[in-house]
Amino acid sequence: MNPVMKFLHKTGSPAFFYWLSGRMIPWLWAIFAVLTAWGMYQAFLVAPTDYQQGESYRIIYIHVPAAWMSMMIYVLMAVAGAIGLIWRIRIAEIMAISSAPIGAAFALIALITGSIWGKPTWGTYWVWDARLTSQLVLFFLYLGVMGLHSAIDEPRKAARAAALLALVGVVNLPIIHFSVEWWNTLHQGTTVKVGGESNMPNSMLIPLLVMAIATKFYYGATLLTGTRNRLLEQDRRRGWVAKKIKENQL
Amino acid sequence: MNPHTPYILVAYGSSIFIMLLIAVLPILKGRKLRRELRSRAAVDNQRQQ
Repeated sequence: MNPVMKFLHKTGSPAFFYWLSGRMIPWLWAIFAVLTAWGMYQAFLVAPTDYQQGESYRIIYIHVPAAWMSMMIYVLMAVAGAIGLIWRIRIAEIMAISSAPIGAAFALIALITGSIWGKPTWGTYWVWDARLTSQLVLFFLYLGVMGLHSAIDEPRKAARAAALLALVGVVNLPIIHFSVEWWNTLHQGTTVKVGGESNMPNSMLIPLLVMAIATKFYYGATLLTGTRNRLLEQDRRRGWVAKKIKENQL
Repeated sequence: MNPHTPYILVAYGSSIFIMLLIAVLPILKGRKLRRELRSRAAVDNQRQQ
């Protein structure tokens, strides 16, 4: 077996996952803190004022990373759910459902900050246009996945049902992404392009990218914390938990 | 004060509040769970002795 597959197999063991995630979490928080501090400093003290939108454009440094994260987490949740469904890997099932509240939080942040930004920019907090509505649907999909999971008592059955709903909801992601191109929306078009030239100067773009990277470390830390909790809850009567308590490592 | 400052404050304030909530709640839940498991194990140990 090649070393990568061997490592992935080992990570499927609850005891090893619990130990490894415990080591990783402080580092993830530390990197998140450093990147956020630097990104916020650049966003508020270095990046120039926008000539059209004035100071209110600085909301993008939380709005855009939150919107990106809400979509990225949904993809990861669906992929982890699919891994759980196909290969019955329990850690993947737990990671999928642990992702849902974090993704929902980012979707909510994107909605709140977007509507606050909309008021001084467009003159309204909300319009039922394609981008805003599809983002709201994403938030409800997260709530649906969480609600379905908590409605079923048996954890593995609950995980499978939630994974199925998550997979069906993936259809909403291209709708969110392309909504500004397919329909005539109040929301502005794509500003930051992967592999193309972005419509932003570097002094504004770099803090945005730094904040986008920082939120990934936040997701990593909160996901691992939530996954460890669920794992411990499910395995409270298993041997590896008793062993950790005995060795004073819990 | 810049007329946009209240919008920026509310946007960042609400975002920080939500992010703190999502970060802190699982940490507290984990602590409570581990404490519970440790104390249960200690009670089981005493019973066995």
